[in-house]
Amino acid sequence: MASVVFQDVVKMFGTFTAVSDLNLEVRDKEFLVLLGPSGCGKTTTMRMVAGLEEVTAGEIFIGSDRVNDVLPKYRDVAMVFQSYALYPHLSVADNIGYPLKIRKVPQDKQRQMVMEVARRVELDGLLDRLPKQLSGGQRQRVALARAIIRTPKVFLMDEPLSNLDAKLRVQMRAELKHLQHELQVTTIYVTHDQIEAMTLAHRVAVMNKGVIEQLGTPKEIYNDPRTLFVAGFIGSPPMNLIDGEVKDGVFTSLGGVRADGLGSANVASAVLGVRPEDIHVLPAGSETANIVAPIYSVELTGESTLVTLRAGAALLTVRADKNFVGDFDQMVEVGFAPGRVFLFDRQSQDRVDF
Amino acid sequence: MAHRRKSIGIQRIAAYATIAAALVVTLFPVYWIAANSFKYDIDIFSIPPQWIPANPTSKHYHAAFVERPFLIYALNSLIIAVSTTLVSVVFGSLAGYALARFQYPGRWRYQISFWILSTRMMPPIVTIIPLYIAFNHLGMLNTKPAVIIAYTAFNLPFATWMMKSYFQDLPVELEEAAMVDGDTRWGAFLHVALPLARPGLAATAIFCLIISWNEFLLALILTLTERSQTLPIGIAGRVTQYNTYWGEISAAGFTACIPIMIFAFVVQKHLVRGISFGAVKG
Amino acid sequence: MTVSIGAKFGNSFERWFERHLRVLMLAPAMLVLLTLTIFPSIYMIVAAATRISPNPDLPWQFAGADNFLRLLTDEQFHVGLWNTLVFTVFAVGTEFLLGLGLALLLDRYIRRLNFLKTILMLPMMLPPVAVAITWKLIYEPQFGVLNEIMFRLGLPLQAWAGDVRLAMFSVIVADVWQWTPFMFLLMLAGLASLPDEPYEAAAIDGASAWRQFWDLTLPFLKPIIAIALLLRIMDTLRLFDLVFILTGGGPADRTKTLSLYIYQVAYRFADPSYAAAISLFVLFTTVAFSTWFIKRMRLAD
Repeated sequence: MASVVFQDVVKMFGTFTAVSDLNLEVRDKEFLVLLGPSGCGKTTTMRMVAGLEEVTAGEIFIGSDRVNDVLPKYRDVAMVFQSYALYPHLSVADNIGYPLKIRKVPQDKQRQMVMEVARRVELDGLLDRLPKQLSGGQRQRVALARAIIRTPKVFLMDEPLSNLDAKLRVQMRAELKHLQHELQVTTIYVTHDQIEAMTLAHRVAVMNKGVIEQLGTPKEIYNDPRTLFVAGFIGSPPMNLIDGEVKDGVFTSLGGVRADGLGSANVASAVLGVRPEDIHVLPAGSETANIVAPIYSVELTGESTLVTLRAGAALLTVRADKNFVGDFDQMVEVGFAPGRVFLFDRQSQDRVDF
Repeated sequence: MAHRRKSIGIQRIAAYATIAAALVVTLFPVYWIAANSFKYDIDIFSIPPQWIPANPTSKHYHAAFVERPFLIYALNSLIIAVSTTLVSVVFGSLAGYALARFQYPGRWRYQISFWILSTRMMPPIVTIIPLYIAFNHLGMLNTKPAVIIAYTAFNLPFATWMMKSYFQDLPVELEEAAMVDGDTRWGAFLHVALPLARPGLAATAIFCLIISWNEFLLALILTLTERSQTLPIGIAGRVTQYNTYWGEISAAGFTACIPIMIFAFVVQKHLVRGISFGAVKG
Repeated sequence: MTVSIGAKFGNSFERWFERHLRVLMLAPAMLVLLTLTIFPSIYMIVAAATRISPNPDLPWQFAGADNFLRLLTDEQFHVGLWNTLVFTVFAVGTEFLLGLGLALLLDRYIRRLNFLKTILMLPMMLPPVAVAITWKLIYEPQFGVLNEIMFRLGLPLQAWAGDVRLAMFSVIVADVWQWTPFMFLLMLAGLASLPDEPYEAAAIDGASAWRQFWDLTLPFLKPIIAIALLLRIMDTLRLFDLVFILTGGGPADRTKTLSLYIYQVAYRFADPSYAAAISLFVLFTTVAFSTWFIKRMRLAD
């Protein structure tokens, strides 16, 4: 068991900076998710822990050991790859047992451990098969079994669920979470899927362009986004972000959105953020309406109705009651939930507190 | 485009007729050398030609392989081809893997790959004179190692490129998984990449065998005695200005073709990749 | 269940080995190739610029460009050059047209017939020496098969490879027999990789089969055609084995190629300096031609 510490870590590919000046401590036994769009440096960060990429500058520690120059085999980490990376020429049993074979564990002990792990991930009937004879979900389990057969200091998981179909993904997600809880192994998990991040993580590090934008619990990330990027990236449908200006605590946009109660803030190019579920449809003629706008489209999702309004050039999404009824171009008045409105500075991309 | 159109009867017939004609034209010369190798001299010279050997005999095979040193030539060919192939495939796999997987500063990877390929394009006649002189100095003329070294120079670029292309087809995550699981990079190459590249290794090896087995010019210049002469040189030696020993060279020539015909079926799937790297011609 | 791997971070040799693996794995091949190409190249340049005495005890004399100037006046060299060019143009041209035609005709019929395909590929893999003696047997003026066919057709008998007018033709036919399969195979591979959609779109647009061939098939095939031509031309420029056995360069030097001439100069006339000069000429023309061709066809990738 160990923590993983990044100290001023930089990774360059030629002149391209993949990760710049990363500082992060993954605590012992923690499930940390690196979340971000593709190309944000999250996979590179993980690969540096595994030793598959060299660190350009800075230091990485696993436990108390500085591992910059340590070969992957001595880092005692286990990795689950997006493509599973099962050895196609080896049977399921040999795939799972490969880390033991390399470590020259006695044959009978190997067999016993493989059986044990296979039972745990429900693969015990398939040990003689080759990877190509397995379904996607089964392959995923083999990759998992290979990672957990020796209890490593750190688990690294690179989008392990992205090749599964939607239903299986939800099921495996729960299994993964339970497994990590049982094994109590520090885990770094890379994904671009915010639902995975929210459901699995103790803490989430949201990355963008090689930088960690925000590090916090899923709740913090969702309820208290510190930057414009985090605000826009987390949540589905995403937070409404409306460009406008703030004068003496009053926000106005060209599209007719008006919000007050923003303290005494003054921001020339401001972005107002409010989540769809924090916008409420008001009865006609309501005085507290933040905007009155025509309906652009109405989508029933089952547990609620997504109503999109046209506010000037911008579109505003509202999560309304599932019984909401409205027609195209019908005028609707909506209001923002008090205290659930965020203000960002377009220039610095940072939150403006008020 | 013919092959995109709906099947038309006439076209189909024309196609099958062409295939049949192509097969006859392709196979007749091979058949003819085989047929002649089993004829008595008098039947070889008969006018009109005897299309099917009337009195089949193995006399010429006996003459070539028992009375004359064609067995030694064949053995030399075999030893030289196998040694060249071993060296080329081992060195070629190492270099091919390095070029497929590792980063080199700047454009070095591209430069080195291209340079290796370009050595393949050198006409053999250009390098043979210096090699001849070097081997002469070293007292290595008329030895098998000299021929093996020369052949390696011509097979290695090809083997490297071919293996590089096979390694590039393997997903790199497999080797990375092996490294995280506890292997070194070298171990991942040995335990994962190499076993997975086995079909490529086999195809590359067979192409090297064919090139070396068929080669003529280098052997002609580097070998003068039967201690190191190969089958093609032995055959050419029986084609003189005054007399051509038809039966004998047919027997030896057909024998030289047999392993190739077997190999051709083994590598059929890899043929395109092999010839686009210039494998087939020595 | 924790399983350790022994020494904590491995020994220093292992680390050194891993770190330098990219050099170590490349080194054997590079050393072999460097030795076997750089040394001969330097030797050739030095030899071409000197006059090497047949007596090995005498020192080499600097000859400057003398050996290269000889190329201008050496008629035998001109004959060799001409023969090589004629052979290249007609052999490669015929092989290409035949190979492309056969591939277009047979593409849809032969795809699944791997066995047949392999048989059709056989000639190019056979030892050139065996091919040469086979054709020598077929061309034989007295009892050869070809003259038997001429006789049956009521045509005049010929000496074929021994005839001044027909020798080059005979060599070309043998080469076409051996190497048309090469063109055929590459064209077939090219055709098999063609996408279907553009043809469907063209058919809907009303393009005739002939238009589709010119507008779609040829442009799609261009890269593979270029590679096939390049590989074949580089082979024919160095033609040796076939003529060596089939005609020995004769009759009357009608089939003497540059390679054959270099061989004669070096070993029969024992003039390695001049042979080196001709070799360098061949090398430079080959390199110049292939560079030009690769650029022209935009094959660099």
